[in-house]
Amino acid sequence: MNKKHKSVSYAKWGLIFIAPFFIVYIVCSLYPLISTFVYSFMDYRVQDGQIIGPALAQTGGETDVFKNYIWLFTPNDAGHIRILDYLWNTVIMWLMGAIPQLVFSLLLAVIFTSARLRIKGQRFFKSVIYLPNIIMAAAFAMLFFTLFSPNGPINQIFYSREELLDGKGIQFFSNVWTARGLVALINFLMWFGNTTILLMAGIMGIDQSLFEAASIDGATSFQVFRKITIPLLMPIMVYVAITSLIGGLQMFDVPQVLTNGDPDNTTKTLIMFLNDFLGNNKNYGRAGAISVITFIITGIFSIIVYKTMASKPDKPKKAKKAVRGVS
Amino acid sequence: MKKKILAAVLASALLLSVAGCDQNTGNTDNTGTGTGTNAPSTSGNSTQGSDPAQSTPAGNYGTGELKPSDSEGKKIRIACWNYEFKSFVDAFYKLPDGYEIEWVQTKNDEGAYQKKLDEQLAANESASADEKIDMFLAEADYIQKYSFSDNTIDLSTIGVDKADTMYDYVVNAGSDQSGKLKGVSWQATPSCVIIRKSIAKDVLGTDNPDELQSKLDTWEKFADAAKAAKEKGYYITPSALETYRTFANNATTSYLTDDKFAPTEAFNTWLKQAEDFTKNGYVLNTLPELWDDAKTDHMYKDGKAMCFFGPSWYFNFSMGKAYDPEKGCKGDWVVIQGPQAHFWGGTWMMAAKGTDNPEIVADIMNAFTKNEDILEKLVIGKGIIDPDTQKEKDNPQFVNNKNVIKKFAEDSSYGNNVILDGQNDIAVMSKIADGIKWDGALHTRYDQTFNETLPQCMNEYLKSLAGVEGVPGVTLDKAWSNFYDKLEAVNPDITH
Repeated sequence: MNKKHKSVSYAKWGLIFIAPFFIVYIVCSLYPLISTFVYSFMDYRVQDGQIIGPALAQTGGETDVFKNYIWLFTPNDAGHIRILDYLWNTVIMWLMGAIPQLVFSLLLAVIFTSARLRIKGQRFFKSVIYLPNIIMAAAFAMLFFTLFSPNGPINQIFYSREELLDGKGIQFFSNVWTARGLVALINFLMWFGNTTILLMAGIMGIDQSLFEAASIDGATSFQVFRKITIPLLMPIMVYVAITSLIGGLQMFDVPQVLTNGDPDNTTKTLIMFLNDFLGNNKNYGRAGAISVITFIITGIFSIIVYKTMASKPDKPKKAKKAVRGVS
Repeated sequence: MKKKILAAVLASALLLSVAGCDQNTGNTDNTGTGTGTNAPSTSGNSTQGSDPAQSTPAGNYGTGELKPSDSEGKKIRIACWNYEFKSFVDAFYKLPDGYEIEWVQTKNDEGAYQKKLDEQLAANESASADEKIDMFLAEADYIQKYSFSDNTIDLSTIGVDKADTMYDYVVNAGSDQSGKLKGVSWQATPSCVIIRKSIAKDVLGTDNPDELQSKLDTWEKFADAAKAAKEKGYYITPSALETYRTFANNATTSYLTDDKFAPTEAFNTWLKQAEDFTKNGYVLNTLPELWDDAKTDHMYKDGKAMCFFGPSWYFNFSMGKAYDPEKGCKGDWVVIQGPQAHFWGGTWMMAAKGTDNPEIVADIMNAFTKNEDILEKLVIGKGIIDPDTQKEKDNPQFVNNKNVIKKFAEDSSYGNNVILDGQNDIAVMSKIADGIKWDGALHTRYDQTFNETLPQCMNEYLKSLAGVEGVPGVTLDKAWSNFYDKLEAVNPDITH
């Protein structure tokens, strides 16, 4: 009787304790989410201080709910479907940062967790690696802007030494690939620490006896890495890849501050495009349509990443069995 | 014990951050002295338009002699994006006793000032007395948005009238469609050509302002000078953007006709010049934008640029590198009228609808446009505390009062020593100011887009024209397309 009473009371308190989250979530997240979706089918904007709408989107007096979506996929004067251009920019800058980041973080994670190397001062290194993540992205971008600006310290070095680039320097922000590269570099520097720590946690979660068994069997470090670490780390890798993808597609602050989309909109991301419609004059309809498309793109990409990476976890079972079978 | 200390530290950190938020989020800064001076709660806008401040005799504006009526709120709230005007008010204006000014600052990043201001103005009439914006400042590039707006008061109803002493273009810019005065300014911003004497001497053989003017008074001569500068290893201006406003100001048609955009003839003339200058290497091939270090570094002693374009506020306030004590070249500068009269910038004072302080707002406006004592002090620009450094810094102004300007222009003992070598810059600028035109029909509420975004988009085209390695090839068509994309985000109803 007593027990039963307790359990009921726990349930009630449980609900009360989780209630604040759900209330905040519904008010601050779910409601805006739904309204964004609804507005994407509407004419709703603030033009020079006048609010127009919200009302179902119209073209020439006729209701045309997909107006904002049709606009989104209509080529501009130069014949470009802008959202695809900006999606490409976003993806390429994300890949330029994420792939080296994953490789580098994996390497660091393996080195730090290696039972053979037993690196000293691990905590210190972990803190140092993580530090860039604490700095605000905008501040990071400002720093890089100053460093790499036409008359900044990096170019001063080039100017002062004739043997480097004939003393000409590099216009980092006028050149497509250096501008994209710098955006990617900042994202890499900011996030590799975080990824390293996640992967280390993943590796430390793997049963140590597997590593011991492998070393007794005479497996080389590389074999251990390929046959044990990688397969068993896959679930964490998928998590890292998908969170990185979602963060990458939402890339905004670094390119906004660093390049503002220059040169020729080649570093302009999806969210910067969205931001164009939320300036002094706001266009909630179009911004909503961009958001919904971004949401769909993120969903599709996440599924692709999940499917390609998560099909592998079958293998570790075999690997496990193989190792056990031998021992 | 440790835990207790930790808890105390965390708690105080939390408190501090909350206090910090309080100041930051609103972006307001209460610099008033007295606190707790609660204004009598005036219901609605009962005071608006009632009994204009006629009691103050002309010339006594801003001396504290004003006796405001009881309906005036005790707190005057002025919206601004920086504290430059505040520094003038602090230095030269005297409020009647018992009143205080609260400066509501919103930094002008990414249009944040207008965004905030629009929200405040929309809610102004229903706001409580201490929450109302009474007066606000607006810049030339978006003045028309507010002068044509219903959220601003016809100034003649509160006792601020046009005067013959004001420059016509300043009055026109602050007037609405029907000619009602909505905004006044203490300054006019005639823009000069600012020339490096030593380079001019090398290129044109003289550094005398009159002779320089005769050698640079048309765009053809300017182009010839550009060629001569190039031959001597100099640049006529750092970038082709430098002359954009000069052309744009002298346009005879508007960019917009019935929400249809078309480039003006003046724009095409500028573009032609910009293309020529870029192709011929008369300007830096990196084509820096107006505020880029790559441009402003050419104001240093070892700079290679001969001409900069800018008004009084530009060369006195923004050309710090030119008079940097170590790397600068103070005194090696001279200002002339140049090929065409034009202006750049300028700040207007406007009264917000719903204000509960029409009398004091009018007094401030009259003080800074009609009180010649105050205006003379502004021209001299001494005794002003720089809001950034809190130290006294000269900030001479070209005031919007022809009497005062005439006095200084004719005074042979007056000279500018901030950047110039004692040259009477007021005399030069007064000639320019007389020639500036402002036709309300040619300006739009999107002037900022046309004056900033449009040349920026064209600059990408010019960069690829300059042929710097690695720069993406932006054709003229692509540059236009990029601009139309941006224009569409500003107002989707505009066609082209």
